[in-house]
Amino acid sequence: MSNVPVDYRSQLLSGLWIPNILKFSDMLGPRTGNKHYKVLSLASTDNEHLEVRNLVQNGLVFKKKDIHLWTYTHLKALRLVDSGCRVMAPSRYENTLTQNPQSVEAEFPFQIINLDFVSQDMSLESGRAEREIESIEATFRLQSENAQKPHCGFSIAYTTLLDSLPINCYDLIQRLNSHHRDGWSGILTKDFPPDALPSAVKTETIQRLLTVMAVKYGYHVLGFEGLLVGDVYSIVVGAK
Amino acid sequence: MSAEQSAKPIETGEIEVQVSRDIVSHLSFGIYKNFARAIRELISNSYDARATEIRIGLDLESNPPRVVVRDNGVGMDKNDMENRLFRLGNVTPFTDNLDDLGRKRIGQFGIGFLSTFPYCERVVVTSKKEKEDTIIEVSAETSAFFQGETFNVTDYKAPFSKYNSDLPIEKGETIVTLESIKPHIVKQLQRTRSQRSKASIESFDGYEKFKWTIAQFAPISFPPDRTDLREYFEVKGRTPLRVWLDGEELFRNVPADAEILQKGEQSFDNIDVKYVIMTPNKPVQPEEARGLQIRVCDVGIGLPTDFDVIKLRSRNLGRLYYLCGEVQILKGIVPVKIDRDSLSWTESVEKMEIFFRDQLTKLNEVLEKEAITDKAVRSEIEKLQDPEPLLEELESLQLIRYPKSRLRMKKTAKHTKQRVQPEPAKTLESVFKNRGFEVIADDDVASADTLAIEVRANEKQVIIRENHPSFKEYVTVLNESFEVNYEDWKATPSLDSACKIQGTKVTFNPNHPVFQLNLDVEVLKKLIVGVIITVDKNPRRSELCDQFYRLLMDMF
Repeated sequence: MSNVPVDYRSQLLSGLWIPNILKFSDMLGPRTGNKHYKVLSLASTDNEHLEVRNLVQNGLVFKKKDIHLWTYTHLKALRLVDSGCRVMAPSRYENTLTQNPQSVEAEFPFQIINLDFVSQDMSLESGRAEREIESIEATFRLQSENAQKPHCGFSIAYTTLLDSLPINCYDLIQRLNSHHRDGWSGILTKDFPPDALPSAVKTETIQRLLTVMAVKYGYHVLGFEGLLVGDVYSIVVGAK
Repeated sequence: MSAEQSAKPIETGEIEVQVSRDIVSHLSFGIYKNFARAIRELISNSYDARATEIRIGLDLESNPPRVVVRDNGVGMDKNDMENRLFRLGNVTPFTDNLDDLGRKRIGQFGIGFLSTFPYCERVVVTSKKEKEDTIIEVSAETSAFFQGETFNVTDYKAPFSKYNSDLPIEKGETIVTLESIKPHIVKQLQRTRSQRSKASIESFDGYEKFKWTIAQFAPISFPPDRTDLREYFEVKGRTPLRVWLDGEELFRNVPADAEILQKGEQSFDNIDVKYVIMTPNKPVQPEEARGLQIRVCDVGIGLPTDFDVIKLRSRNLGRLYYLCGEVQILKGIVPVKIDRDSLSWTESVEKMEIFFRDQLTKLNEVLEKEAITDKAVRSEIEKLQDPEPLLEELESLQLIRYPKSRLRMKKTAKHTKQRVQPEPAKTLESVFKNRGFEVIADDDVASADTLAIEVRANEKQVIIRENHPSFKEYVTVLNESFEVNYEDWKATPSLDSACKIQGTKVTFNPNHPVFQLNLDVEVLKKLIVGVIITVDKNPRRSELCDQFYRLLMDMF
């Protein structure tokens, strides 16, 4: 049984997300009143919008309409309308980005992306983590392809559950490599364990894959930091 | 639509819309004058459904634009939709009985829901009843409910779908979605004003006007910093309602810095009311907030009213627009008109109106007198050296209520009889005492280094040093400055006996008839001194003083 502390989000917000997003945003350049930060965040099912409040309080967002909340059912989308944020509700994030990314392409790029999959009514079946990571690869791709010149940077936070199932790195890397990019030679499967299972191995695998994906799409990694809260692992990467 | 978005319903069908033509036939879509008031009706419905939280979202940039009102009330199942929501014009008699949240029912006429129809093309109601595990969603095309400008419903069956619920079984929820908001409403709500004035809600941005109107009518709490109003109007055992608009919690509109002038409870036959009358010590803004807001079941009925006091009393009530407040009907059956913008006439309602007309008239007089007193105080203090810090201090302590701009101090009030011998210390003493401060008069000789007026806020004391140089009066004539004193002596019909000049001192006789003239006192003093200086060395001095006296008496 996985250990998901009830207050994991507030711990992650104060201990990881906000400090790192602030750090990376300072590195990306000075923010002025008319420089809007566009945010994408997976809306948690409890509708508490904790991250929205924190982003506003920390001056990272000037208008709530700059925040896009992602959900995946019509009813959940209705419940988000009164948040004051923009609502996107095609289907589950990992499914849309891997199967139908063109349906949301026009919304990209964002300056802050919060992909907290733990808040999303997770189904703990085989292949879950792999789909999440593949959707992050698609995220980097959409960010890069829709970035305005000069190439703008962003912070991305990925939060997942370290459950008892291993990450099938072999299959995952095959799928990641199937998204071709000129000049990119691909990820070598021999550089990764075939199945990443112990938490320490999983977290290291996630860190390496995320940084490799950033480089694949022409980003320079400004830095990254991870935090484990119970069985919930979160990493924030800054990319420019 | 993806597979997840269109989750398969577990049941579909149609709900018959039933209309009580007696009520609905009297309606036109103009009866609800604006969109905010239609949303008020949805809030009232949620309140009656025992909601404690209502969240309103304006999603005007989506295509199509929509408004969503979501509550955590008891919710509805198919039966409730058929027999309550879609039985339009189904009158529920008003009752004084309380529900388990300590509230009285607001809705009566069964048309609140209908009031939203003119503003959108479709209304979708999604609801989960508490203790049930299914959600029902019903949609209605609003064009089926009115033709031209009148409501005219024939047979209509609204399609419904049922789904498995994603909420805990004990929770209830109702979401009303107004889809495809009419373009003119979207335009109104998105309107921005280049010059943002607060004088009237018509000068607000469209969104701010909408927010102000909802906050004015909804049965919500006073702002958190108005614990005085919250505690005064608190009803023990009543669960409050909270309303959010686009994530921001709304509170009742109260002008900033409004102080309570009067509060109380009254009975008018069978009607019991609790009221408060306030003033921010300046014109209430926006102007729509002037007067007293009547509330029935805590919901605002119409906009604040002055009970037609000016029209009916035929008087000029210059400070009426400084007054605002609330009249809450606590008990009693009060007839509310169908548009919920006014009360119907009864003898009890008329008695209530007369009472509040009287209160507004009396408080207008109180404010007028305070303004006159403030003027006098400011006049005296402005004669001191460096009066500004003292004025600021007195304003912060509410010893002066009105800013100078509200007192029309630049023009001389010709109708007011001026005192020849000003007594600033006495004027200030009485005002400060009336406003709750102890006044300590200090007769000792005071130098210019000391303060003429010293305020000790913590001890609520004011020290007035009557012999301070700042209180001394001077008159300057022909570039010469004279210290002014006053003394009574026998008056004769000559300027000679109105004034004596010795060196740099001038002594006036305040009881001399010349000071009864209809002429500004300060000007008169200078004139008298000027004349006496001019004729002083003249051999016909006495005769000239007599002649000037007669001239002044003839002219003024």
